[in-house]
Amino acid sequence: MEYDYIIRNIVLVFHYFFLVFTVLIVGSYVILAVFSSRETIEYLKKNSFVNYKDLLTSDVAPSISIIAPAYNESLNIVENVRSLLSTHYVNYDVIIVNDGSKDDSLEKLIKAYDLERIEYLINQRVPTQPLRAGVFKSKNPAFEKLIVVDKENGGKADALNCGINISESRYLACIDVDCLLLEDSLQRMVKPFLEYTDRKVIASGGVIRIANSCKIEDGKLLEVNYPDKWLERCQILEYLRSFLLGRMAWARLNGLLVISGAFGLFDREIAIKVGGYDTKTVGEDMEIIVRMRRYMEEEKLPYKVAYIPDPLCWTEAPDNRKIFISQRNRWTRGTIEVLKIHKKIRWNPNYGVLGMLSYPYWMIFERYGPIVEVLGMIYFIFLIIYQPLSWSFILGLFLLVYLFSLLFSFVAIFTEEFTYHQYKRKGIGFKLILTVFLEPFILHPLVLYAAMRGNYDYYFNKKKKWGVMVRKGLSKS
Amino acid sequence: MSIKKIVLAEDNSVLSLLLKFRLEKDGHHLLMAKNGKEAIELIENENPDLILTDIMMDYVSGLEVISHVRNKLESKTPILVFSSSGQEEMVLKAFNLGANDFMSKPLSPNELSIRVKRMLL
Amino acid sequence: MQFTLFEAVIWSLVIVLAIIIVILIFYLKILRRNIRVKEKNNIKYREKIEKLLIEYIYAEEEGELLSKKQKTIIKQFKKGLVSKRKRIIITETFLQLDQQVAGHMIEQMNSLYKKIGLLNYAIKKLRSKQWHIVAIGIKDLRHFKVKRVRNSISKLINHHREEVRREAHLYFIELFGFEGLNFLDNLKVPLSEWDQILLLGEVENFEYDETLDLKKWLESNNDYVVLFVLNIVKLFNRLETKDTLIDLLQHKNAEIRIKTIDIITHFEILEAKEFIIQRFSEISDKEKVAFFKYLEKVAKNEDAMFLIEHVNSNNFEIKHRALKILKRVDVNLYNKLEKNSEDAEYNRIIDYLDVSYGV
Repeated sequence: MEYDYIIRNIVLVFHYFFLVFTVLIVGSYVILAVFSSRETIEYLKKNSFVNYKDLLTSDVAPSISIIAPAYNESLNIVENVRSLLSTHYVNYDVIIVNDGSKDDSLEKLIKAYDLERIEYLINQRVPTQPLRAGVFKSKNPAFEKLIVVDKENGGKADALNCGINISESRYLACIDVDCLLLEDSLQRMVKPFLEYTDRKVIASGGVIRIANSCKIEDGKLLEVNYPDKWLERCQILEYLRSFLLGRMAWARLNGLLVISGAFGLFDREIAIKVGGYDTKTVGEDMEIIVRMRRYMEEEKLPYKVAYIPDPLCWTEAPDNRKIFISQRNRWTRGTIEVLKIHKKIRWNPNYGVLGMLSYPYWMIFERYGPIVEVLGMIYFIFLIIYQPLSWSFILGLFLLVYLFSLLFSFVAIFTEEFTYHQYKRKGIGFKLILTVFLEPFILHPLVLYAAMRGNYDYYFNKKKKWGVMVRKGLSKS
Repeated sequence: MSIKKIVLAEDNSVLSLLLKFRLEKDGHHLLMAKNGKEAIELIENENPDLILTDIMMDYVSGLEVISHVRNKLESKTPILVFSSSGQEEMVLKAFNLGANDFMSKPLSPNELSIRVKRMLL
Repeated sequence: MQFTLFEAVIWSLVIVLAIIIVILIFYLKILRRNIRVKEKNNIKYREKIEKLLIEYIYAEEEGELLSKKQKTIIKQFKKGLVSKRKRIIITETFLQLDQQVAGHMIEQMNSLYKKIGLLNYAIKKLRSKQWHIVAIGIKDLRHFKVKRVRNSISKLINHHREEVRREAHLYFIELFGFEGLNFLDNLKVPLSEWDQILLLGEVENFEYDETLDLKKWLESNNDYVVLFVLNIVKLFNRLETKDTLIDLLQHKNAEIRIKTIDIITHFEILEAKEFIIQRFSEISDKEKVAFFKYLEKVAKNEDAMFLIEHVNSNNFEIKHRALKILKRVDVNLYNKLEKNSEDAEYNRIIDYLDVSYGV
C-alpha cells in the first residue's frame, strides 16, 4: 500500500538524518580530541623549560590591567581583591568596577584597603553608564596597584567597558571578581602575545577550573579537593572535556570562538577599535571574540586567538540545579544571539576558518545540537509506539552512544592525569570513574532542559537578563 | 650573650636551608617560614630579634609582612629584605614601609652573616 | 535483513567499547597510584639532595682540594645520576641554588657539577633529535657557565625552532657578555618581544662595553635588530647615538619610529622637537600621541602656539596633553581660552586640570 511505502521512506529519511548527525558529532569529537592532544603536548614541550620569573624583573614587560566587574559581591570582595593583588607580575594594575552594587562592597573595600577618592580623567573611548561615587585609590603604597571604580549599574559588559576606559595598559585581563588566579597566570597568558612575529595575537583564553570544595585561604589555593555533590562533580568532568579536548583543538585550528568570560586576556587596542563589549547581549564574552576576529579578517591581518591549558583560574561553579539551569539557559541565549548578530560570516569564505568552520560548527552542534537531540528522542519514542522495532536494536544503539560518551570522558580524564594531575588525593580516582558513568544521566538531561528553556526564553520571553548567582563564599575547608 | 631568634621567610627551599645552616653556625636560632603568612604567624608567636624576608613570595608578600609588623604590631624589630635584581621599586617600597636594610640576590651568605651580626648589636 | 546486519555491527562495537572501557578503568587506577608514589618519592629524594648539597658546600676544608666528606657526597650524587628522574631532581636543586647565591659558593657548585658528571648529560642533550631536549641542554650549560661547548652551540644560533635559537642567544650573552651580542650582525630571523625580554634580562647584568658599535646595528636591515638595540640604547643611556636616533624618526617601520620617539623622550633630546613639528601633519596618530608625551617633558614657552593648534584635536589624548602642557608653559594663554566650548570632552579636561592642579 502506498501509505505504508511513504511512511517507510519518511522513517528512513529520519533514520539517516539522525544517524548522519550522530556520526558527524562523534567524528568531530574524535578529530578535536586528536588535535587537542597534539596542541597540549606541543604546548607542554614549548614551556617545560620556560622560566616565567624572567618576565618579573623586566623593564620591558608589557603592562596588563586586570579588570573585574563586581555586583553585590560584598561577602567576598575584600578577599578576592587581595588575591588579585598578590599576582606575581611586575607591570600590572587591578581595576575593580563596582557596578552599582546595592550592598556595602564599596565601604568594605575603602576600609580594607585604605582608599580615598581621587580625581581621574577618563578617556571615554567606549560609552558606558556614568560614575557614581567615583574613582578610588589607596593611600597605602602596598596597595598602589588597586583602582576601584564605583559607577551606576549597567551590567557586566558595561562594567568591563568602564574598566577598558580607565586602563592605560597594553593588555586587558577580563575576569570574574571571584576567580582565583594563580600567581604566574599573567605571565603565562601574555606569553603568546609576545612570541609571534608573523601574526598578531588578539586574545588568549585560559582553562577554568572548578574551585568548589577546594581549600582556599586568604585568596590562595591550598588544596584541590573533589566535591561531594554530584552536580559539581559532573561539571568538573564536563569542563575537563570541553577545555582540554575542545578548546585546545580549536586554538590549534585558529578557529576558537569563545574565551571564557571568567578569564581572558585581550589586546586593548583591538578591543577598543571594535567598540568594546556589547551591552545588549548576554553572551558578551563570546560576542567580543567573534567581533575582534571579524575585524582582523576584514582588515586581512594575520592573527591568532591563543589558548593556555595550564590550570590558572579557579572559580565557583553552580552547586544547585536552579542556578545551574539559569546559567546554561543564559549560555544558550548568548549563543543564539551571537550567531544571529554575526550571521554575515556564515559559510562566507572571506572569513576563513572563522566563517567556514567555526561558525557552522557552533551553529550545527552547539546551537541546534540540543534541539536535534530532543527531537531524536521524541522520534524514537514515536517509533517505539508505532513501529515494531527490535529491542536489541534500540538497546544496542543506546549502549553504543553511551559507551562512546564514556570513552570521551575517559580520554579527557587521562589527558588531565598525564598533564596536570590536579586531583591527587587517594580515592578520587574511583569517584572520577563513577562520575564518568553517571554524568550522562545527571548533567546531560539538565543541560538539554536548560537549552530548551533557553530557546523558549529567547523567542518568547524577552525580559530575561543575566540572572543572579548567589555567592557562597570562596573559602571553604 | 643571649641566643638571638631570627625569623627567615623564604620560599626557595634550598636557599632557605643554606642560610639556616650558615646562620645557625653563627650561633643564632632560626625559625623558618615558607611564605608571608607563616612568617607573620611566627613573628606574632615568637617575637624574634630580627626578621629576614624575601619580597616576592606567594601567599602574603614580604611587603605585607613589613607593613604588618610596623603598622599592626607596631614593632621596631629590625627587618632585612632580599630582592631579586631589577626589583628596585619593590625595595623602595619596602624601605618606605619600614624595612631597615636590604640585600639583592644573588646574595653572599657570608655578607648576610656580617649584616645580621651588625643588626643584632 | 539489512537491520540484522546493522544490529550485529552495533553490538560488536558495543562489546569492543565495553572491553576498552574496562581496561581504561584499571589503567586509570594504576596510573594514579604510580603518580602518587612517584611524587612522594620525589619529594623525599629532593629533601635528601638539598641537604647533601648544603653539606658539601660546608664540608670544605682549608688546604685540601676535596675533604673526605665531600668525596663521599660526590659518590652519592653520582649514584643518583643514573636514574633520569633523580637526575632531573639533582639538576633542579642545583639550579635553584645557583641563581640565588654569589661568590665562592658558585664556583664550588660549578665544579661539583662537573665532578659528578652532570655536565656530560647536558652535552649529550645537545645531540638529541627532539628540539625541546636540545633547548633544555643549552639552558643547563648556560646556567652552569660551561664555556667549552661554545662551538657546538654557535651552530644552533639560527636553528629553525625559535626556542632553541633563543637559548643559544642567551648562552652567548650570559657567558660572553657584550661580545656575545655579535650574533646580531648576521641575524636573519626575527626576534620576538619575548626573545628581547629574555635577552635584555641578561644584558642588563653587564657593565657596558664602550667599544660596542651600536650605530651599525641601528642601521641594520633587520628591523628586529633595530628594535632590540633601541632597548639597549635606553637601558644603558647611550646618548652618543643621538644623531642616528633622529634619523630613525624617518624609518619606514612605524614601530621603530614610535620607539625612537619614546627614547628621545627618555633622553629629552631637544633637537628632535622642530624636526617632528615640521612633519607633524604627516605622521600617524600613534606617533602624534607619542610626540605629545615627549612635549610634556621638553615643551617651553615658545611652543605655546603649536599647542593652541591642537587643543581642539579629535584625539582625546592629544587634546588632554596639549591643554595640560599649555597650562604649564603659558598659563596666561591657557586662562584666556574658552572654558566652555561645545566639546564636552574639552570641558571635562579643563575641569580636571583646574581641579586637580596641585594634587
